[in-house]
Amino acid sequence: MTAANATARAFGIVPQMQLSQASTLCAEAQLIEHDPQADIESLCSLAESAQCFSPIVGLEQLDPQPWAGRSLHQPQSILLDVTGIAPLFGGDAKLASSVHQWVADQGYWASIAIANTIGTAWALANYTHRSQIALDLAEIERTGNSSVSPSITIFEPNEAIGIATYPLPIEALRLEQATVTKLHRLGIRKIGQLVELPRVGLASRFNDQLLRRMDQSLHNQYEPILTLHASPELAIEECLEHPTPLRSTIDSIVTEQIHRLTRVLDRIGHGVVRLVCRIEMELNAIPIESEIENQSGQPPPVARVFQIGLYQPSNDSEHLLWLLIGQLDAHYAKGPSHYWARSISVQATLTAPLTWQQSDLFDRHTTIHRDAIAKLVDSLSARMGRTAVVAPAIQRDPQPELAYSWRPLTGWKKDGQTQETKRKLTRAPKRNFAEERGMEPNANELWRRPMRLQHPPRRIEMQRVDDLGRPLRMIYHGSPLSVVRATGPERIDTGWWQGATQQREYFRIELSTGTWLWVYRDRRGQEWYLHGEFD
Amino acid sequence: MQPMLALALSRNESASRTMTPYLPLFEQPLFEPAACEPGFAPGELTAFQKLEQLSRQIREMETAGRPDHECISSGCRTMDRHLPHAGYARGSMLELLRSGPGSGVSSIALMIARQAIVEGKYLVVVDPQRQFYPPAMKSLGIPLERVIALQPANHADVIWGLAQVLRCPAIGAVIAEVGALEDRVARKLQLAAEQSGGLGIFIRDARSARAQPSWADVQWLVRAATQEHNVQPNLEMQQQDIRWFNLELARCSGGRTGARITVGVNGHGQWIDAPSTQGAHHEHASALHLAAQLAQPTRRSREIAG
Repeated sequence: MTAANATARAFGIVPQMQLSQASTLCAEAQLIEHDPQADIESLCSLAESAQCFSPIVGLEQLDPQPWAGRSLHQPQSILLDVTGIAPLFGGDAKLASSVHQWVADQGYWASIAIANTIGTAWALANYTHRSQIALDLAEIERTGNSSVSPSITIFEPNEAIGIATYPLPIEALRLEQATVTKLHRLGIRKIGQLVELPRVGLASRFNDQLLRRMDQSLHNQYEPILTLHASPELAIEECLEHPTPLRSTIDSIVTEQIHRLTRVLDRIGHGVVRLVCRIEMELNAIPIESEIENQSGQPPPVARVFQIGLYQPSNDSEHLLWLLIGQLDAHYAKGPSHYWARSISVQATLTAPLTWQQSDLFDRHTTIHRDAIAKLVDSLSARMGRTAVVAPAIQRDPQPELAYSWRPLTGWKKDGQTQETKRKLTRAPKRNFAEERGMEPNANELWRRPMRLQHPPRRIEMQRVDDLGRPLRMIYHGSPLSVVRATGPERIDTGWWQGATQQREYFRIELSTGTWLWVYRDRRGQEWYLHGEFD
Repeated sequence: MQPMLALALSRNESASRTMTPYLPLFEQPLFEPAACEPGFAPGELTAFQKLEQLSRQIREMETAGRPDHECISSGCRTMDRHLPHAGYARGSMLELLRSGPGSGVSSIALMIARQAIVEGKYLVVVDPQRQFYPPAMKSLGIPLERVIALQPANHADVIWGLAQVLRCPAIGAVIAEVGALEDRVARKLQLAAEQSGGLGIFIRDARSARAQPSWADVQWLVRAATQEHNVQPNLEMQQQDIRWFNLELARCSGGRTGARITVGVNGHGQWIDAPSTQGAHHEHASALHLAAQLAQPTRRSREIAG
């Protein structure tokens, strides 16, 4: 369990619980599979568009081990460097509330803190209102109203006493679970208690992470923000004197910008891996009233952000332009909008040296085709979306529908770094010896698994079954057909740890028409299901 | 009447004909009808030779855009025997017509695609319904690290994606289930395939495909055969797990349509020739060399995955 709503919590379902425990507590709970990739995608695009507040935006940098108090090992905070920016908004408090409003407009709910170091801001944002946040979220869920009072903490830089006086738990220092457990055994639960201990003793008894984190949070030690966006020379921006609704103008500006960008990259010998195009919008035309009503529920678009993740560094302006125009096409196909473009910028947020690799002796063919496949995957993903361009992966699971998965070929890694998809495609699958023993049918037995799987399995009507439980006659596509031969049963039982236990008896049946089907009988309900066709 | 006569003769002859790499459209008749005509001078081309020459010229013009004349063997000797150049031309399109659900079209498509993705080329499966089952592909011997699946949301994306994929030189084969294609779209796909040299394998419904024109070089109608009805396997075959298919050559540019073959695929993913076909004249010959065929299966050696 990674998250549970208020209704589920009322049943006692909480995050970090096993799925089987949860289904025992509430059998009719609706389960949605957690997609960490989608999380990181939306967090990254939120961070990219947060540039309207600060030029330096980044995600929190994870440690190899997850932090205590976190159930998921993935970035969950966005960091903004707001040095010297608050006066533009009229002070820290106003800056914080406009950030809160902006986040709420995007459909999210955030806890915000402003402080003079990353460590302090992180601790305050994550732990000052921890109990309040849960209540607020429950309130939002109940009322559907996101205008609950924001939880904002502002730590004044001139406060002499420091963060140690806040009643924060030691988890707020971003520590490993092992360190936190050890400190808990010593009876230390708050940061205030920890500060009173002699530093020398801490250094000898704990790893250096504890002291480093204490320095970052309590003693103003410098910590960089790893930005998601480009260095100034790789970001080209153009503000228009008058906002324009014209697609052709936007296209020509983007073309010019990409050509300039590739010239800069040419000089330093780099290629684009990730490209972001921002189009700042402004409400310009006089909107028709009915449209306002339609749009009333939606937040006003401040900026449109188009992102391209490439498969390998490329400095081909035509290729980049083609990918970007494809995305613009998809956006402008929705019809005219009364938000007009005010400024356009193109940034290469991630670049890598263009390298020529010497091909291996045995991998020659793979290397030949890699560039072509890379470009193909880029262009397909750009138009169809990354989830529509996938590669198969086999998993070790006896349950047929869980024995494989389709994995997107482009995207972010779990920790917010870019995915090295090129390697992913060309890498031979790891040989798993355990997998080769017994769990899945022998690789030599082709006709034990269907070519096409029916997912979810479809209920069928079996008219006659013999004494041994083998099917004799069934209804298929509306007509009764006799079963000429049935091979089986192959019994598949699933583990209790995967939710409701499945007990199935699979048969491969050959109908009188020559059709081969893969059917099973649910041994508990005695119902028959069609699970695949040997097409 | 004369061409009809010639065809009938060549069909009789086909029993004894050995495997030729190139199957002429009109085979040489036993006697030359034109030679009997008055005024025939030796050295001049007969009507049959002229026709053959013209049809060869047309074929050459049609396939001028293709990268080379290299062919992809299907791996199945019986199937190759009915194809011109003993295989599928690179950069061509092949259609497999499904006679009914579960008839085995996907298996045949994957078996042919397996031969086309040699030399590190990739296989793309266009699968909007997300039904293809990777474990079955793996047991067919297809290297999964070189398989890409497209799961487009709508028909427009299917067509666009197909054109992109067919144009890519790193693609060995594409398998897609398509409905009716507009002529212009089909021609675009054909040109894209010719450009890259990949093999486009399209699965279509037999009933709708018959009513529509086809841009494919070869069209096979695939029917599932039952052991009881069509094939009398010997004892050795009965012990193996073999699935039999009846294939009918519905269209073949540069070859003869209407041929029917029965082929099998065993549990190791190897093609098996039928022990006896409908024609009685084959029975004796195939019974003689059957053991040798099983010992040396007709498919090419499988590539080592990874």
